[in-house]
Amino acid sequence: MGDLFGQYNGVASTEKNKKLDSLAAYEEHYMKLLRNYKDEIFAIEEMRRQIREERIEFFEEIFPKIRKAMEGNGVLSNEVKKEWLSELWGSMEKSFSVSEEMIAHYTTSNLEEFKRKMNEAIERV
Amino acid sequence: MGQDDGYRFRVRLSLQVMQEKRRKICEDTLQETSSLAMGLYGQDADLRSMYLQMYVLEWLKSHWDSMQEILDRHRERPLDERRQDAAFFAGCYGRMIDGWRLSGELSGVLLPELLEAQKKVTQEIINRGNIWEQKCQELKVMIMKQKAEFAQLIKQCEEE
Repeated sequence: MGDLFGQYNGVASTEKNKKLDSLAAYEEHYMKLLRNYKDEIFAIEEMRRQIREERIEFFEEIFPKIRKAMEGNGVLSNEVKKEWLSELWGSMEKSFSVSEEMIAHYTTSNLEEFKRKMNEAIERV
Repeated sequence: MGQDDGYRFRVRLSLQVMQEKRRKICEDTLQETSSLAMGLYGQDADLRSMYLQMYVLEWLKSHWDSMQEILDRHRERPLDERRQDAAFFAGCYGRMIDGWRLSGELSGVLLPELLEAQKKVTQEIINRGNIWEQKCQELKVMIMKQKAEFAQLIKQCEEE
């Protein structure tokens, strides 16, 4: 059968240790970086959570409350109510978008830095 | 570790300002404050539209006012950090006014033109770092002047 199954032979033990050492070193670097970036990770998570909750609160509670108050207003014309509700919705949506874009940029730049530092670590391993 | 503290400072404070102003527009709507009430209850459609634009101008202005206050409150920061803070806030404010400059329910009358002028100054704050303080002041004065001119225009329309 010769060397038919040669490709499936295990890696030589001396090589195995080298690779295990490399893997361990990689993981150690990764964990170290994670620890160093812990504050940033928590800060980003907090920003995203806050904006998410604020969005939900506006669209599910605040806007319906405002719409109900305006609909109950017997003095304002329907045209005015519609115009302002539309403007309010649009203003809030634009504001949320700018905030979310800012968070996304912040997240991306942190991620890029993290990856760069990991690559530097990998080159040393 | 991670992004420098300056960047986090800018992002955190900008988000705070944006959140405060979102809360404000909702409260103003529920409480029917000042120029918003004039915009809602005015009899003349054109005048109503102008008052509503005035309100939006004031609301947008309040974003820059708050950001300027932050810059003023943190004079202890190194000059280069403050320059970057101003550029960051100008970029944020510029993106905010883009929404009204380029489209929006009330974009029919004067607002886009006024915001266009403001946008140019925000770009200068970002691009001309050496005179950023002067440009911040220029933006502050421009916004105040626009608000006063708009109020004057409204008064003239009311008297007609």
